[in-house]
Amino acid sequence: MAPRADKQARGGLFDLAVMVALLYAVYAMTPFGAVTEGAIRWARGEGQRPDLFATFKGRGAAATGVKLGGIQPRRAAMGDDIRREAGAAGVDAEWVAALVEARGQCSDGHCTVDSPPTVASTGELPLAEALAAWGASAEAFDGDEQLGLEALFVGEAPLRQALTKANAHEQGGATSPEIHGAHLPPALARGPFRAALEIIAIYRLRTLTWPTALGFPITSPFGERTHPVTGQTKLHNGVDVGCPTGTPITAAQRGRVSRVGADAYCGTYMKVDYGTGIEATFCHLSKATAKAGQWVSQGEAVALSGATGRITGPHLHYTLRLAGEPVDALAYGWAPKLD
Amino acid sequence: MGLASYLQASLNRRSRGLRRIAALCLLLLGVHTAGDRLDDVIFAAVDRVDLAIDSALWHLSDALTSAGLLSEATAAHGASRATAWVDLAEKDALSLWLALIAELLTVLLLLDFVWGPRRPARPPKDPALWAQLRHSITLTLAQLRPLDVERLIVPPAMLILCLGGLGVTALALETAAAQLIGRAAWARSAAPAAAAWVGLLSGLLLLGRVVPAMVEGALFRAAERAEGGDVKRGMGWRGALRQRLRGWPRALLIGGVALMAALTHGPLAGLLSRAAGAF
Repeated sequence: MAPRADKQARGGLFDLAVMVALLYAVYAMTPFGAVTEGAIRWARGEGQRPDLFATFKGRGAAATGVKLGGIQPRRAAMGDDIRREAGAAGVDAEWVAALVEARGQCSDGHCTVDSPPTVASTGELPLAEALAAWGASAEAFDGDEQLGLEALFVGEAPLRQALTKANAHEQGGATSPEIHGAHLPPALARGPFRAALEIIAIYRLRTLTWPTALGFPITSPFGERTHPVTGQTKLHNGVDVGCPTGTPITAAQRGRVSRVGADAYCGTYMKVDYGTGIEATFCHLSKATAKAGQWVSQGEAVALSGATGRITGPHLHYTLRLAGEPVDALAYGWAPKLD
Repeated sequence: MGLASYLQASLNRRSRGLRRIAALCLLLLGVHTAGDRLDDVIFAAVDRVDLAIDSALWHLSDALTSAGLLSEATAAHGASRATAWVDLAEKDALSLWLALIAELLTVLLLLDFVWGPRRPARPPKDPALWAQLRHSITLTLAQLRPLDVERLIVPPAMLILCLGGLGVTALALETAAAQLIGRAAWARSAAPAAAAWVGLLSGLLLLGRVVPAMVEGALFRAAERAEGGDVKRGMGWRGALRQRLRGWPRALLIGGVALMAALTHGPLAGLLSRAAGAF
């Protein structure tokens, strides 16, 4: 590198090894690897054209490849036999529904699962066996079903290693699949782990709680409307909950506070990233009690509602986004009745 | 000449080029590590600017209403439309775009310091190791004169970015090593600590092989650029000031990104703690 006469250059083989190691690191740890893989898949006609910006964002569905757009908000009908078998195996029936809906189809007690490699190489997996494997896998992680599911897809040892690295990286040992997934070997992270994330995304969506106490009226639903202050007709990208100033706002799912700030229109606002492309924004707050970067658990109070920003009266503006697109929050989780 | 000797000689001839590619990879990783915080910082700045503009517009509309130049309804309507112009999601996207552009621009600017042409230095007359070392230090110090912003900031910033990149590289190699070691049943329990050591030691090897030469090369390149700029800088105190401030926009961007990388110490800290866990 130094501009010296290099008559007796040595160590070329070592330099080659160094270069290869660093190229591998670039492939494994930056969006360029994912974009290159995506480009190869696209060239083969096996996938969509890769989006550098979406991959660079490194968060949510765009980065993980979770297809939230195809998830139906209402619960899919779940057969009694699946519920019964799930209960007998000690596994949450919702998880089974998610597994079935996301990764395969069931008939006569057998589900076709798209090759979770540590479970079956044939792709054909009896439901009872899947449930038993899932249960055992969760046991190894102190009963944590999300981790159990991830281990089922990527294997216990790589997941433990990734968790150790992610826990050391994150404050307080908190982590999420997106964070510890980045520490998995690329082949696992971009393959089987993505499948596990799709199931986790469905689970998270179906178990979202409502961010205020129930009983407050919905003063303005999601959808096209004429703005009461500006007079413009445009998409109202959230749900207005008519709660008085000082009402506690709670996290609808386990997640991380990604932004807290002030905006002339939104007033004091907070964004909470629930992972796998699910994000909530709360506007017109009187106070944000959680800080940016803080991990919050489901039901934990994160803010107090208020009347800041451009408003006609105190209320909470609640926007739920899936893969960056606003959706009707009333369609997910436990929603209150419309006025 | 045997094939092995031919390959070795061929690789030796390309050694400098290989190290330059390695250095670029290291910088790319360091810049990407900084990106973890960069978009948050940019978002905070965008948020503040947006709030300041919106507040100014509201004050202006108030003033115009008080002066009777606008009706209250028109003023409120106009100011509301202006505040709704860029919403939160758009600000988020804007900050991510700016962060992506900053990352790519930083890598492009650093490319010149890694690969840009520089004058070959004369080798020392005395072949003794001590004489070579003294010659190298003298030559390096000479590149710092006259000191300007670019030379003051860019080489240290590159060092910081390399350290950030090393942390990430060590993590990637640790993962690969853990996978390999874990395949042997007897070594499975020792795999995490052993892999952490593999990551740490390979990081140190990279540090020794790639980083000093790269930083030194960057300094030589900066000196070369300064000499090229001397022709244009002019005379008097303005010329002197221009000389001192030479390359400040470049230095500001690279230095800022390096600062973000320095604040993201998780990869290295975690690796050290895992390696220490073996004892």
